[in-house]
Amino acid sequence: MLSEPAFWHRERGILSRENVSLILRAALERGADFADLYAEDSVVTALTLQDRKIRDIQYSVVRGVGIRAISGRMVGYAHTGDISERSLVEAARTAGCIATGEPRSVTVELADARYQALSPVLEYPDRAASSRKVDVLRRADESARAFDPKVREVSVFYRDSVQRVLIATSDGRMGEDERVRTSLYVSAVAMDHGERQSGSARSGGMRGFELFEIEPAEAIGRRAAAQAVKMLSAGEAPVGQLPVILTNGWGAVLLHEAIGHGIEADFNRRGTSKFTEKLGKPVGSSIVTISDTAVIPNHWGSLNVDDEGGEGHETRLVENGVLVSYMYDRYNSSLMGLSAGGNSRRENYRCTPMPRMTNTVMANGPHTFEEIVASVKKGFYAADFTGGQVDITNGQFVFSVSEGYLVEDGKITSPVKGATLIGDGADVLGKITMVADDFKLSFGGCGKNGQYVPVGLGQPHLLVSSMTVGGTRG
Amino acid sequence: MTARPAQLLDSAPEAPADLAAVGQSAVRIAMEAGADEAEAYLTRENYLTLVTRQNHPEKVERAVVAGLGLKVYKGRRKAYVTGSAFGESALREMARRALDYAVETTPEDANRLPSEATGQSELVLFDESLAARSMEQKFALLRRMEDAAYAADPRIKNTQEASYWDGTFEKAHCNSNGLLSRERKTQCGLSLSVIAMSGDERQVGGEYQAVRHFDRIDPEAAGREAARAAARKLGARPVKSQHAPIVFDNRVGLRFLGYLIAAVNGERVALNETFLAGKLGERIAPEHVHVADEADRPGGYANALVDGEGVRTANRRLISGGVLTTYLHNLYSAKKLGAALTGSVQRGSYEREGAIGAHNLYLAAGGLSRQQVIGSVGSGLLVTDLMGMGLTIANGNYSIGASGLWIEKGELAHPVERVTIASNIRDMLLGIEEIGNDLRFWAGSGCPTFKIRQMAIGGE
Repeated sequence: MLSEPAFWHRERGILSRENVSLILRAALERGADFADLYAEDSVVTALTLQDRKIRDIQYSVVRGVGIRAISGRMVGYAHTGDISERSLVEAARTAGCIATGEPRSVTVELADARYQALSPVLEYPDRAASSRKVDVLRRADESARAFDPKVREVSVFYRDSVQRVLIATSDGRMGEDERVRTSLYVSAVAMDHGERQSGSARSGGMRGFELFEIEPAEAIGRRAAAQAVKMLSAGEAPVGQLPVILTNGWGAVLLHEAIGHGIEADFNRRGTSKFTEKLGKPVGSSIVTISDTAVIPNHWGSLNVDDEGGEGHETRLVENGVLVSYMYDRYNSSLMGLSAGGNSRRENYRCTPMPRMTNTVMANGPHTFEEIVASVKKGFYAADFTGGQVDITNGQFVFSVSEGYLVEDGKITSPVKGATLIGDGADVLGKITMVADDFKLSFGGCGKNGQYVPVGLGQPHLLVSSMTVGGTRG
Repeated sequence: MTARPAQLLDSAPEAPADLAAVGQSAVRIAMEAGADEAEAYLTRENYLTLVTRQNHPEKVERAVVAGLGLKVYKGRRKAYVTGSAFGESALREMARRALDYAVETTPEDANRLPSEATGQSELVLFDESLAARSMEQKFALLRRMEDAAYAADPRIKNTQEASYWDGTFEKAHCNSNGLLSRERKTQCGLSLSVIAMSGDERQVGGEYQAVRHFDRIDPEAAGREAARAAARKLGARPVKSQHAPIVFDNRVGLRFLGYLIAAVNGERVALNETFLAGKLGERIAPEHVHVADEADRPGGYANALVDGEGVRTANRRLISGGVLTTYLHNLYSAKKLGAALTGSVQRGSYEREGAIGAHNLYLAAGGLSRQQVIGSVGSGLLVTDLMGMGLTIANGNYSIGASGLWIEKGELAHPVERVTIASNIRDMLLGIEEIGNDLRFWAGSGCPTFKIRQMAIGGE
């Protein structure tokens, strides 16, 4: 499926099957149980528009190889951007030093691994002319400014990346994958009578430049502008316990923070999560069913194959309120006596993989959005967020609302300023009392231990019967 | 037109011994290719990370990362290209690509090298002894740190992660105006996060240290502090929603300083995106509030001679006697606002052009002990941890998740969690009352414990 030979091209390159086998053998020679190699060749193009000007354009090449050796609980990792046989073998030996046996000779036979190709790319973004990217930024900027004269500043950020990886494991598999992502982020500042508000909107996918045929840049610009203008009339947010309606799509930051991170295998192998030893036990109300699925074609967090060579798949995490699975990488699952994977990801070749989410989603429920709103006498509607955070040990999580509204007598009424919502994961999932039938996908970036990976999420509108809303108006 | 990188095997040569020589070649090649001006920024980092849990090693990681970023200016346009190939043909390819891309940007008067020539300089923050430290010595630090945590409190039952890291950082930054700025630094540190348990309750607490000299690491202090941070949270509960005084513990005070840095960012000011736009010279805090940004501080972790754009750095106050005295600029924002350069572009790896930030940043200490700051509160919250983003930079609106300790009649009463604190950051600045004398630095930022008159607490 590779459109052009990457630097490791099988037959001629430095990372031929013979060489990779040699490198893995070097990693195993002191007695490690397992070794893998992750080679990356990525190109990234990023453009910034600010103040009506194309301010920055950056082109980056990220190219290197990471080699890992595992011996029991011990992981050795070395990486290098110097792609020569000498340097790679040296890195492999460095990684392999976690075992201290006498040098031995081992064999590593590598068979081809072929992975699904879930996310076809119609137009490779690294081949689209820069002038067309500039045009996308300009159209987003102009449409945001044209939306309302109160829009004073617009910033637009475009980014595309083409990542090609080769993954080989000492248990005999060697395969390649390609991840293409394109995204646009628009932020707008609106002013009126001394009040200043910001709004933002984004679009992105595991797609090429055809992303802008699905949603034109103009529409993304207008969404950002509309939010900034709408929030100009926002009053102070309420403070205290209220029923909270979470938006569909990006509202699923709830799933990501309230439970997602807490059921990643590393924390549970160590016994440091609030969800440790909760498999088979209730962690939410019986109307809650949550999955992590890598196999949504073209979606932001999807994976053909994870970064340890595990095929992307769907994992049911919570079934009717009961925790049924953690999310696994190979290292932690084997230490937990299992053989699972598919959620192992890393930011780039310089990082060791960790269990991470792909696309985390909640299934539709029986209600309509209108029914949910009509059921709330006095509450809060969280329509957009800047993000969230969790303490996986005590289960506390927050999300930061960037667009919120009061709900009064069954109607969404006036906009209120941004506020943080805080709760305990299992407690809030247990207070989900209504789920709508309007599932929607969204996406964002997820940081963990300093590594940033693209993730997707999705859910229908839902009602949490009570949550702490962190405004100022008592 | 955007051909694939052609010289695939050109990436093979090892990172060169002399970064500056490569940088100067890159600048020359870019000029020969037709740039009006050019800048090369090269870094090489060599690092080691060790991770243990309960004195059992879990990870050893080693690596060298080297590369260069080439910036070209042509017709007041610019582009930035990065890579990790150092051969002559790779440099030519980067220059060609950068010039191709630059055409797409908008001409801008600020797109030029700094006019003030900074010439040659070298900053050395280097611990020559680091290279001779053995793995045993480094693992021993981790053992001492974890042992100190477990000894400090019997309720410490588990470890999330204990890690040691060290490395060397070398930089060569040159441009076609004769700049040659070099840096050689070592860095090393520890971090620990441990779990305190009581019945079913688990609470995490952590601590980190980042220093330039191995001898400055204090593993016992890190262990004790992590244990204290975890254990004091046991039994935490929300409080009722109310308005009350808030004390920021010195470590979370760093977050508060971070908001200030975001708000005085010259680019945001130029775009009218921050609530501090138009406030230069105005009183934004009480008279006893001083915030300093020092590039030359004795023993400063973040000392710098020249910033990421080749501009000379200086010591300055951001807030002096409660008055906002300067914004922080890069070449673009200084030009746009007609302001003097401040040398504020922070740039680490070659992979980024750098961003506006502070060097050694701190809120000046006050005269009271931490105990006295806490003692000045009748009924309020000592915040020790914050969660979430918090600040809307455009208007200063602030709301964030918090945990800490409840203060009643000037004494610590019980741990608090799952609450929010909210206000507007303008009111928070103006509401700074008592400032402690416990100014402490973590790497390049320092803060004492301080009190804010009143914020809204969201709880039960």
